[in-house]
Amino acid sequence: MVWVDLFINGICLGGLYGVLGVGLALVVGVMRFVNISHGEFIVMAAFVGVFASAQLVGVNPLWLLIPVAALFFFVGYVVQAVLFNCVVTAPDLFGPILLTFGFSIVLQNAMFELFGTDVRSLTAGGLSRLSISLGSVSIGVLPLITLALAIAFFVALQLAISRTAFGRAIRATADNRDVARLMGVKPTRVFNITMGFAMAMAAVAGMLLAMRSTFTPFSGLANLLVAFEVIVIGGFGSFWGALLGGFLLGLAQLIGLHFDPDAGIFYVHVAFFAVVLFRPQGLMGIKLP
Amino acid sequence: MKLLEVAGLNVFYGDLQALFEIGVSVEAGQTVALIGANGAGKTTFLKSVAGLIASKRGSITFDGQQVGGLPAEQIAQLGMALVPEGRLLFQNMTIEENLIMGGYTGRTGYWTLPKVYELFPTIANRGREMPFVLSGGEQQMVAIGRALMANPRLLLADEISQGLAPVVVDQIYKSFPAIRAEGTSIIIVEQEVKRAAAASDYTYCLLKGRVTLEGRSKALSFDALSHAYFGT
Repeated sequence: MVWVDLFINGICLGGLYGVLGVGLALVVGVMRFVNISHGEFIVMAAFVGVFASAQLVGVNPLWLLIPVAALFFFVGYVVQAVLFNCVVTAPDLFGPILLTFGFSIVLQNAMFELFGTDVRSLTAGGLSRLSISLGSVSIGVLPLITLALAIAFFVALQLAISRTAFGRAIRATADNRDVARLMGVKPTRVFNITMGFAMAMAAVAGMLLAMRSTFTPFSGLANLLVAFEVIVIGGFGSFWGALLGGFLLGLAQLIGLHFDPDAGIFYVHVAFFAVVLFRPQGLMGIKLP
Repeated sequence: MKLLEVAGLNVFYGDLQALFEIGVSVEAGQTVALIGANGAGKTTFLKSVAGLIASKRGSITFDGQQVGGLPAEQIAQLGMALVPEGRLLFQNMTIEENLIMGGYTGRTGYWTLPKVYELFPTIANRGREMPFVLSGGEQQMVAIGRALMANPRLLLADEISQGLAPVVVDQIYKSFPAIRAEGTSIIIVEQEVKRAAAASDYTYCLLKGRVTLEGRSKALSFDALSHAYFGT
């Protein structure tokens, strides 16, 4: 029974990791640009969630996901428009890395200055104790909601990108920026909105993560690492691969913790290493000749 | 009435100058041919006019409006469409999505999905397939169809016969009268002089970034053309 329990909880955590990664994957796919400060935005969203729920006593933090996601869409849009667009079109590979790396340090220290190093978490009220019993297996309600949200996000994103006019513009821009411009697409606008979506997903992931574990202003790097591992395992640019990659990492973490309670997220990295070793193109990536 | 008027156009790639004092004009309803050897600056000219190259000096007037300083996406909105060299279809989209993407500006007019399929029956019923399964000629038809979906006033066609069998090229050139009949002017860039002259009203010959000859296509002598083409 403990295996069923581990499996279900691993999948639920994995869904969350999938959301963590897919925002980053979207940005990499559309802009060929790696946002190293992605992890800091995840932590910022968690802080916003903590302070908002302290102000709104009695409101379930799950409801806060919607306004915080909307806020971070706006934040992502503005940061891209004001800052990141300066380097996205640059031919120099180092520009984006230096800018976003520097920005991540600025954000980290700003959060440290404002909030200190206290370890925090977001309490989900009575929800975190609720569980459903199926025979001898009990499943937490919060992990289940997390998984449902993750899958809903993936489906919504997939539909938006494959079926809408703006989704086509995103794919066209990812394929060939100049040709997309010839059709009347303004790349910077596509980038701003894409970053908005990526940050909204980072915000949701950050808050859900804060509900199940703790965080400090310096948790960003660990989040970025997991997000990277998710998209590398999934195969670059593959949405469903990112979800699958998330599942694998979530399972690795919880099964690892079961046998080795002091391991932290060590077994996540072991699983990542194993995939890279035996299937370098990722689980759903196309094998390069 | 002049639809496009380019005067004194100089274009630069960094320190290198690619075009020198180019003057080209296109009357409404006209087909203009731009011929020249590899590296003469034909593609650079089209990209500059379409707004993809920003470092340029000179005047580009489209439909009575100065467009020299506008980015490509705004020029597209005004009704200029470029069929890029090498077709450059969106490889991650179906044929139909490629065509629909061409209509992203929302400009309305004669050209719609059914009309494009009517013009090129070979690609009708193949909308769900991906570009890489099509032959080169069929891909070129999709590229032209995609540009037409924007209902352009001016169509810029860059090396559309490149790498295609002569029979297929004939087939594509036969679609031009139908495109012109709907009020679209065309600039074709060609390396094959005879075909370009036959399909156009007016011809410009480029050599090393300069216009070396221009005139009514019917009136140009073969000797003068080859002289201007090769610079001998």
